[in-house]
Amino acid sequence: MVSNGKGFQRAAHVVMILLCVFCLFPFVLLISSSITDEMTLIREGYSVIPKVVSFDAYKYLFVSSKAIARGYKITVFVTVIGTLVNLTFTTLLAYPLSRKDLPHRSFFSFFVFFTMLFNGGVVPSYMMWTQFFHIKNTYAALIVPNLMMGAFYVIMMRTNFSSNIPDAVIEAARIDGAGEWRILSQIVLPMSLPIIATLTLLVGLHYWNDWVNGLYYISKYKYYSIQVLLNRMLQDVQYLMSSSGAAGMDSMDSAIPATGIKMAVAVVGALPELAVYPFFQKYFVKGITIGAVKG
Amino acid sequence: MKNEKQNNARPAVCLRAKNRRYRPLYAMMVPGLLYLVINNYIPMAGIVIAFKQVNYKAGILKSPWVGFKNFEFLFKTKDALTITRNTIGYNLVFLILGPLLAITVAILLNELKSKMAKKVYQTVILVPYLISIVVVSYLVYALLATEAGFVNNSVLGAFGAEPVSWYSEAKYWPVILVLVHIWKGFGYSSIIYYAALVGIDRTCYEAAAIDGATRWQQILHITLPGLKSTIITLTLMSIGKMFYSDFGLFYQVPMDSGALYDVTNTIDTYVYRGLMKLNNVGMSSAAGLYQSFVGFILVLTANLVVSKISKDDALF
Amino acid sequence: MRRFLALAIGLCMVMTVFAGCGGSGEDPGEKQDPGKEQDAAGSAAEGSETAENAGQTVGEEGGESAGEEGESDGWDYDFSDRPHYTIKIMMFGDANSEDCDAVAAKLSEITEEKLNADVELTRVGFGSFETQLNLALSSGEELDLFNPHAMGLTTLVNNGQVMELDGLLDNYGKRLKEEISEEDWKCASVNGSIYTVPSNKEKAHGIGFVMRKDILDETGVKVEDIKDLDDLHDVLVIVKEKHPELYPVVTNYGSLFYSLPVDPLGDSNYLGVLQDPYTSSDLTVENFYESDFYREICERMFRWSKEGLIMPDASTNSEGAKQLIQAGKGFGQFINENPVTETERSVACGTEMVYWEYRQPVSMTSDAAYGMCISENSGDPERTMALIELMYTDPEVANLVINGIEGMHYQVIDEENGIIDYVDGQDMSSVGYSRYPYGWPNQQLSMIWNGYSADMWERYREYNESAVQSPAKGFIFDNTAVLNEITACSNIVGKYNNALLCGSLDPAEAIDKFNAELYDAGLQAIIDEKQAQLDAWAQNN
Repeated sequence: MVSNGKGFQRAAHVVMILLCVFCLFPFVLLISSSITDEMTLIREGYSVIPKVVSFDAYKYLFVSSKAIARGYKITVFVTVIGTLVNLTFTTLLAYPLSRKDLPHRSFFSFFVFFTMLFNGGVVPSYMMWTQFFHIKNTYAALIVPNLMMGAFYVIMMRTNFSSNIPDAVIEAARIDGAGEWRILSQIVLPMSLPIIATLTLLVGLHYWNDWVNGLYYISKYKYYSIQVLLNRMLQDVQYLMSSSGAAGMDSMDSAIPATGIKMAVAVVGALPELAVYPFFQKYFVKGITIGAVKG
Repeated sequence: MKNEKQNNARPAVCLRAKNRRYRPLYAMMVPGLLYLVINNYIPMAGIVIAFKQVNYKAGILKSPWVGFKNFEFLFKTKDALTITRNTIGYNLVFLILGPLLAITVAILLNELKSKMAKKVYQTVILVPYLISIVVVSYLVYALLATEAGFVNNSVLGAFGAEPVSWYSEAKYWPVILVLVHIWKGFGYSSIIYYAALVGIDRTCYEAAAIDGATRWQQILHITLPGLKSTIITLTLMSIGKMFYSDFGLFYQVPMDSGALYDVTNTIDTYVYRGLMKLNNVGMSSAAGLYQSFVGFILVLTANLVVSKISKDDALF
Repeated sequence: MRRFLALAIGLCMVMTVFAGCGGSGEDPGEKQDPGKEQDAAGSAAEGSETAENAGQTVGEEGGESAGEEGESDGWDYDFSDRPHYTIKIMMFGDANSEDCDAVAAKLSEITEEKLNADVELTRVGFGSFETQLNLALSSGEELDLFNPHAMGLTTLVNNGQVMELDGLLDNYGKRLKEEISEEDWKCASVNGSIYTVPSNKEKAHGIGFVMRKDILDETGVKVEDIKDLDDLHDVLVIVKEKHPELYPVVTNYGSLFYSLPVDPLGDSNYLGVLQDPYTSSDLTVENFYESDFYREICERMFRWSKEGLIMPDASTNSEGAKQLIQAGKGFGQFINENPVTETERSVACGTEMVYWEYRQPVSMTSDAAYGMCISENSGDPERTMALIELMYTDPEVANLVINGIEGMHYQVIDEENGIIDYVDGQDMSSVGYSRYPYGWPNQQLSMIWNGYSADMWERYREYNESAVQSPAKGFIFDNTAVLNEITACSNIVGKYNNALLCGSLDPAEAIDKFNAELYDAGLQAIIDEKQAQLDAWAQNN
């Protein structure tokens, strides 16, 4: 059984299919609730197969509201620019740190890692970015703070570089007279396509799903990305739930969008990510093999 | 004398040459390091807030120092034990179960032959990661609501079991929270591990296969060692976050239900509930600093252990 | 090399302590100074001359619309000798940026002439309002005017985030001083200084139950016949029988009561209260959760819940009561009453609603201490104060900020009574400028929304005059000395209170456990502190 390839394959498929059901079921619930008639949703609760189908939520999003189309444009723009800059910064920092012979390597690693642990809180960062860089209510506010490079990605990439690229390869290239920039661009990067593709994906997801920067730095509707928009809606409900008894609460819920709309935004926000993902998967195979370089 | 001088000079020249050699590497690091200084290190000055009673009129700098007074609320409560226990307990479970599942999935993905299936699985397991935690809390509610919930209605109902009032029964929640956390996060970590896996040299497997190694032996002796440094790195990073908890998971998913506090109250939710109406920046930074500091000590210790065993895998 | 780097980084960090934080500490101060100096040495030189010219030209342009009115209503502040300024307002409630800009532009036409300033208006939805406001106030950002909504006034004062208003009111808010009662000013004061301008809204709240009229009629019970909660219970039982598809009592986003009939002395967690603000003038602070009333109401709700009169999962419900009633899922809810509760709920729920009064309206500090504040970072507090007065006294301005622009956000449907409605094709969810009349200084000058009676504001006045006054009205609690106890107690209140009030926890054991934990967490210290402050306050008043 153990050595039987077919048995193994079959078992693996079973496990993966079960996991996929586990993952998909709530998502199906999400989609079906977004196409359920609003009143039915409140009356009957969520169900896998909508009892009364209604596309009102999507109609509202795409016909009567400019916000979604605008939000999409902003999200795509921010994600593309942000991911490119992030990946450039991350790679440029991770490669030297992956070199075991770099003087003061552990100091710099520590310098990077330390930022994962300690932070001065929101107010000082906010002051930094708004008072000195004036990013409030600009597109930069969705790109620059907190996301443009993170210790997590640097460390992931560094670990991957140092465990997958043998020192001998770099040493050999250096002896051949290649400079560090050339080693990075012509040897390290081609050999690291899987991790680059993975991190591009992860950083891209991070940008796509980010709403915290929007919460802090955006107060104008016209700069709302999809996720900022969605989270503003959700937060309003959370606020109402947490502030029972606050003054004037009676009329406060007038602007709360219907549940179906929230669900529809959640779907609309997540689908494009799933559509792009397969594109990255083709890089999830070994780039140039080490053997080839050695040869 | 002359000789000696030359001998002294040579290492210096070498050193300079060596430094010049690394100059491009340092140059590469400049943008990243600069960004960290601006985005992280300069705002870290805000750590002083934890030791001050902030008055913005006077400015943060001139606000009076209060020593460790802002930290007191974290310890002067009977709940201190519960919240610390919950925070560490859940994190330990996540620390073990999370990678276990993620690595298993990554290996399975790697072993599968069907390219199409591979792609589909990879995409599907990432779905939960894409759903906002607040929306997740609605979905969990849709499953667990007492009257209209899917579990009470369709699952328990089908077996003729009594409906359960999920949001007032604390005993189920440790399991529910772990399930939700894993559900949401395993796809993401699987992808990270998978990326490390495909980096392992194929020729090793080929050689092993020729030597007659079974699949399990290959996994045990090639795959896992190949993942070692990724596992260690990710684990060390999680250890640094030991005293933190995912606020959405512990506050929003249980719908802030009081009956569940014994198993859902963590340091983050405790601080949030305590300070929600107080708007006290000193106390909230104190809480953050406390969490960071403990995480820092834990990571330093763990890193020391790692560097004793395997120098190259240490974080710094 | 290593030592050098360490040194450099150390230096960097030390420097930034000064650069980063100094920014917050000194910048606002510096920014204020020019304004104040200008104030003192008004007609300095060229700067003020150009400002004057600017003021004149704008005055000529906008003169026709607001000019004459301005003179007749006794506007006697002159800012024409000051440099032009932009007053920045932050207000809760979502609005599109374009709509905000349009309202601000319209408002600027008036303020250019009267204040020699234009206006920038930002509106932020409730969910992010507190975060954004707090960041703006903490970072030294330029902000002049805001309504802190549910953020406690004492905390804002203790944090040094709001400006003391006494002097400003004397010079630039004379009419505000006249129009708002002495008593309300006391409610708006912390340690003897005024920090907020009380809004002209309902200044009391009753507690009661609002329910669907059609269903109530079916039961044959008249709302006048309901005398107490026992009678209400009987109604609910009939409703449940006749309409099994309805939950007789629904909760609003997980809470059954908006407030309870005691004076919590400004503390939403009810840690130390005056038991009877209605009939007694006793100023003894007591533990609410130990009172017979609390036990009685929890037991009652527990029974109701057992009988199926309260919706399941009441305490974790993430829908509004309004939506549940609208969807034909709920019969009624407990609510805080204002002068127009029945109309307001009927409009919101899309069916006629009727209100049963459980407790008469009572006025407490928190009812009156709600209104506009001036940020400590304000670059020109004088003009900001004058703007508040303008909003409070000028019907055009009051209506503009509350209802938006005619033809864009509303249309007049009844000229005579000044009744307005949404523009054709728009409704509550699609209008670009959300309405929260009570948040602005004077809703009683704004036009009346369709569905509400034309004598609405008259009813507000009567309501405010006839309300019972809590003996502690005017007292504001400063919690600085007992912060640790409050954080601990807040967590315990969160654990028990809502579940008890929603009837999902058996009070027989829970109340005792609840109180034991509260005392463990230092409730007595909070009560003692409140009592001491209240006694001191009573002596001075």
